[in-house]
Amino acid sequence: MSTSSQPLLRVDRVVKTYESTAGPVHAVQGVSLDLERGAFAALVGPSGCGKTTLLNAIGGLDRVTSGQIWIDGTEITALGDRETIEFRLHRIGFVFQAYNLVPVLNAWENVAFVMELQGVGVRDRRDRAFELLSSVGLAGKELQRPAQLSGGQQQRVAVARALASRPSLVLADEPTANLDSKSTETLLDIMHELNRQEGTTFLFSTHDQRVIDRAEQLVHLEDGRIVG
Amino acid sequence: MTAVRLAWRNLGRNRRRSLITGAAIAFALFFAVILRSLQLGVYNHMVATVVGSMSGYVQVSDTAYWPSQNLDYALYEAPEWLDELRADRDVASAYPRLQGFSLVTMGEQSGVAQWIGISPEEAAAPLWQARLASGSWTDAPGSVWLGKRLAEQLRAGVGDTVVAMGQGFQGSMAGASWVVAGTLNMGNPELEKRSAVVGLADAQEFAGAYGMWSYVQVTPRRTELSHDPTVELGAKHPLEGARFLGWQTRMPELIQAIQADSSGGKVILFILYVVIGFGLLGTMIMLANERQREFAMQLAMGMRRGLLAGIVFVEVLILSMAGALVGALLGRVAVLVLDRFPLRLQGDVAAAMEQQGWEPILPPSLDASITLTHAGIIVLIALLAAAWPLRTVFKTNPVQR
Repeated sequence: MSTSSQPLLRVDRVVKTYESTAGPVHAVQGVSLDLERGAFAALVGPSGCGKTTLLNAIGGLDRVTSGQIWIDGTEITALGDRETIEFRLHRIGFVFQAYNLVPVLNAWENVAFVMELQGVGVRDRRDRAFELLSSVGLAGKELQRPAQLSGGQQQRVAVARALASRPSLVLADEPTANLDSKSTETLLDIMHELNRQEGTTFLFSTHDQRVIDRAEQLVHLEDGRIVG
Repeated sequence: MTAVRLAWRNLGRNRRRSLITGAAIAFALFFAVILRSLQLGVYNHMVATVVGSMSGYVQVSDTAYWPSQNLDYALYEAPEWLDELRADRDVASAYPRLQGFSLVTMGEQSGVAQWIGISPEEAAAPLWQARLASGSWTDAPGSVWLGKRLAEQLRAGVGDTVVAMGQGFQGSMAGASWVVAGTLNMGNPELEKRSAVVGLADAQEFAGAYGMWSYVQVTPRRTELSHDPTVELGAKHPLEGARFLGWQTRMPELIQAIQADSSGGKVILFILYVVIGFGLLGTMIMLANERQREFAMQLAMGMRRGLLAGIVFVEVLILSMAGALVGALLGRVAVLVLDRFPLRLQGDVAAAMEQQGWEPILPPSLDASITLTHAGIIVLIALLAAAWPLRTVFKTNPVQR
């Protein structure tokens, strides 16, 4: 698959079925979708419709039962465990609902965490982390630990962390679920701005109307299928 | 570096728990060190008093002398061979002795004594000098130094004359009167009840064993040479008709008593380690449960499981080593204090020990390997307990974040 003319993300007839004690659970049932480079898109739908499962599969966190997923020309569903980890590390950024910052690292160290795993030198990662924290409105908070930051500020650190490695795609799983309205608006403004400025592709999983209103592409899921 | 830095910081995330865990490790090691040092110290004390200074770590005697210790199996004096043995760098000292049993009386009082004829060189050695409870050492023929309790039993004091009677060499009648020149602290109640020390020449005359030694008491510079002295010392310094015997061979009952008692101590330590091990396991399970989401998040972001496991491993290693270091230092200080001021048992326990011939004190062993061994064991237990969070790292699915 060539990277120049093809979408950044292609999901092709992906099926994900879990085994449970009550029998098989068909979480995602033959979903196909394309996402262009620079998109600001959202997977939407009610709880249990398969948004997070699909996001996990796109992020290489979970294996699909069948189907293929390409990101930037690489079929991640064909990668082995080690290659998937490497791919995630360099090409995908994650923003989680519960922020999930490392509590013993301060803000800039959290942002630099992924770069450290990539082997980027301390000076470069520090500069990049400070720059990103500034761009999410947290200049001056670099040395504060997560416990010293508000929820909204922690999520902004998480966004900066997701962008630290200059990923092709940022996957954000219910990023505003724990935030108040003001923090949500601020966070969405920041992400939208970064999307425009740096051309980073964002894919949200959400049922937050405020995110849905800002998304430029919506993928509606219901019972594991795309309905619109 | 990432692993060490994160591990170090992780220790600070729940300081109280880290401190309690480290303290548990420290106290476990502290008690283990004291317990084992006291136990091994008591054994060393037994060996030093009963073996080291009396019968000797190594004895060179006629091949038939042991186990009967019959005077008839005495050796002929071999001064050239003795000089050669003493010149050996592995030999700290070598003293010929003649010894046997006799009746000792003074007035209406009598007792059974083990008379020991020692050479003037041995009598001049610091060990015997230090044992003198009263009187003085003298070269005067016909002098005897009685064990303190034997002297009490005979109601004999310095300057009194005691009479010894018994069987001499090859069935001859042995008899002599000796003047008490002093009394001795033997460091062992049983020895104090039965010892009567005379000059070697007086002993030879008493028993009619002129020019003879029962054995040569040898103290090697390296105690391991006493395990099988025949191999090294015996091969280097052969003496016709004689053999080298280590105390372990001569006194198997002492070894058995030590082994039996030591097993009891090991069981107590095992119980201590099991308790501490489960405590540590509980801490590790808490750590793993608390951090599982974080593990999942870090894995999701691209951290390798090996690195994540390394962080947890280093964290437990730092914690256990810090605890072990504190425990080792406290234990070592306590052992040094106990060495300076040994515990002295009282009451029935003390009486029971004295009946068995041991001085009722608990001197600790200063062997540093006790501390190192038990520090190693406890760090190993902590690292085994770390298997739980490590298993969690390898089982955590990134979608569990």
